[in-house]
Amino acid sequence: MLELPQQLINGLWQGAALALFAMGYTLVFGVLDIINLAQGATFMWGAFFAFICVTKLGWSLWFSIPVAMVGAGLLSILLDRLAFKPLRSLTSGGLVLWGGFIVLLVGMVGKWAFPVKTGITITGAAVMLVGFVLDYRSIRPLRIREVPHLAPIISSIGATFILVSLAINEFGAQVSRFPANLFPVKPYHITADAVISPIQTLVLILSLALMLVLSLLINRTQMGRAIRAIAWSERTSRLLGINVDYVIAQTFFISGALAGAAGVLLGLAFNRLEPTMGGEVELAGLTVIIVGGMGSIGGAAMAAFLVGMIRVLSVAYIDSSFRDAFVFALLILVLLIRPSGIFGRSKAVRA
Amino acid sequence: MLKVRDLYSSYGAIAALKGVSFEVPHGSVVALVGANGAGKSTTLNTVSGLLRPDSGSIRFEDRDIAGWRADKVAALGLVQVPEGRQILGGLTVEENLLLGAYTRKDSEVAKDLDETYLRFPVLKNRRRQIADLLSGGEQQMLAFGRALMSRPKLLMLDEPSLGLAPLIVQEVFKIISELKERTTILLVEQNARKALEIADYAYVLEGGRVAQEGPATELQNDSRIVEAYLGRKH
Ligand SMILES: Nc1ncnc2c1ncn2[C@@H]1O[C@H](COP(=O)(O)OP(=O)(O)O)[C@@H](O)[C@H]1O
Ligand SMILES: [Mg+2]
Repeated sequence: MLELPQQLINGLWQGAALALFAMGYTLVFGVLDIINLAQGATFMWGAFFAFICVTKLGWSLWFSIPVAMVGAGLLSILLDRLAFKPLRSLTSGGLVLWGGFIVLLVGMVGKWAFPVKTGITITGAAVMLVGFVLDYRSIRPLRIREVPHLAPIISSIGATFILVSLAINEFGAQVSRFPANLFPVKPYHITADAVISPIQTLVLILSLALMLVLSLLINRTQMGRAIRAIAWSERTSRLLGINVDYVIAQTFFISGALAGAAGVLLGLAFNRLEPTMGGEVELAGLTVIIVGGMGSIGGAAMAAFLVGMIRVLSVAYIDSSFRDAFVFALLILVLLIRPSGIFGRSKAVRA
Repeated sequence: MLKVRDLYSSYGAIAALKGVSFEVPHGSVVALVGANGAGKSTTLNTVSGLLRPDSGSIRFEDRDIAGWRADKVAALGLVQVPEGRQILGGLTVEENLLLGAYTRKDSEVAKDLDETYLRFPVLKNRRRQIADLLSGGEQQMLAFGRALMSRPKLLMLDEPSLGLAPLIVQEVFKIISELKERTTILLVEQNARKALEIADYAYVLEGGRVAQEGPATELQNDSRIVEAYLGRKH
């Protein structure tokens, strides 16, 4: 059993990566009032995007991380357009986008002759692209509705299934690993018997840097103000000249890129990539955003360190099978005693 | 500058506008008065693009903007200060003002911010506060300041004096008469007496139609208007 300082270090870097995941999660909730349960699948795909870049394309890790973030961000926008936006407002472009997506799926599953499969896949992708443009340029939706609370949850569970099975198709259900020599392994000594490995240091530093960037983006830029304006009132935002659909797409991009970054970093640190790796972080992330106060970015960051510590300490001092049990206990406790969260004000997307 | 012809607008099966026509010439103040439920806000919201008209044309400068998205209408400089002020309560006063300049791409936003603070000193003192903490009157100042930050060509004000104390109402109309020098104004008011004092020309809405129109001074002396909307002088 390891000493306490070592456990605190582990809790710190794992908490930092969890914070990235949770901040994106809570950002989307703050703006749209939906829980995007496919955030875990985006996290997983972020890790695999980097994996493809490093192993298949032979790119350096430093280049692969931002590429994976952009990939996960775009995936997140796509999820919004397919799974959430049609629930808010259905446009003719959205219907074309859906049609293209179904064609794309048909092209990607099954074992047809190669050229036929490729042809269908490319057609689907092209139709989707047209749908995207039409959807973006549409002046009026065919219908706007009040979204029932359950619908986005079901949508995003469905999206998770699709994303996980695509990953299993592509990478197999077993564990994939980055090449072993990717990163130096000689640990730094913090104290005599507390160490942190270079990769863990990278996770900690990059996570903290991204948290800082997000905080500046949300609080100091016109884009961040527009995101918070929409969280407050969509109607007023429109009167101010804010293109709400565009800003929502930006929000999903940021959220997905953060989840993707968390996926790459944790995937690297444990060197374990599996299609189901999003499930575990999903529970931790959900706990974090509830404990942090739904929609509060600063609250999520702080709660992430708390949950990270609890996970690490329960593994070290009790038993690894209790890890999720303690996280769950915290979740229930907060829901019973203070449902608005420990750290943040609810709603109002604040840092 | 703004020419609305035969505008029809509805909420589902309920027809709210049944052929409204009016004009706002460049540099003028035009008032839209009428009882509660006459269709004044619906008219502004249709022009703003929050509602899609069933039919009719809305010409602003040289474009027909009927059915345009609200953010594109605002970007043209046709800016609404909505009923109930609708400030962004969770954001600070300064953030509200900066968002007023959202559609601008020039480099003089900081200068305009200083000017806004000069004009509304209460906003300067409370610039870092959450806008929800402002009083009703201060929120109206913020709503004006925010709209001016966009450098509007035409301002549409929806009941700017609604729910404010008499002293503050005075102040609000003083500000509107100052704004007159800078921009064209379409003023919606239930307080018809005050609106007619300030306006050049006025339209009276009734049940989603224009019941009467004329130069403001004429309407002020029209016995029917006096009876229906202005009440007896005290
Ligand atoms: N959101 C709405 N849904 C249904 N009917 C509405 C809605 N808003 C306004 N109305 C109706 O439309 C008519 C015009 O309302 P409105 O434009 O708000 O009047 P005004 O601003 O002159 O008081 C009224 O009969 C009102 O009841
Ligand atoms: Mg009204």
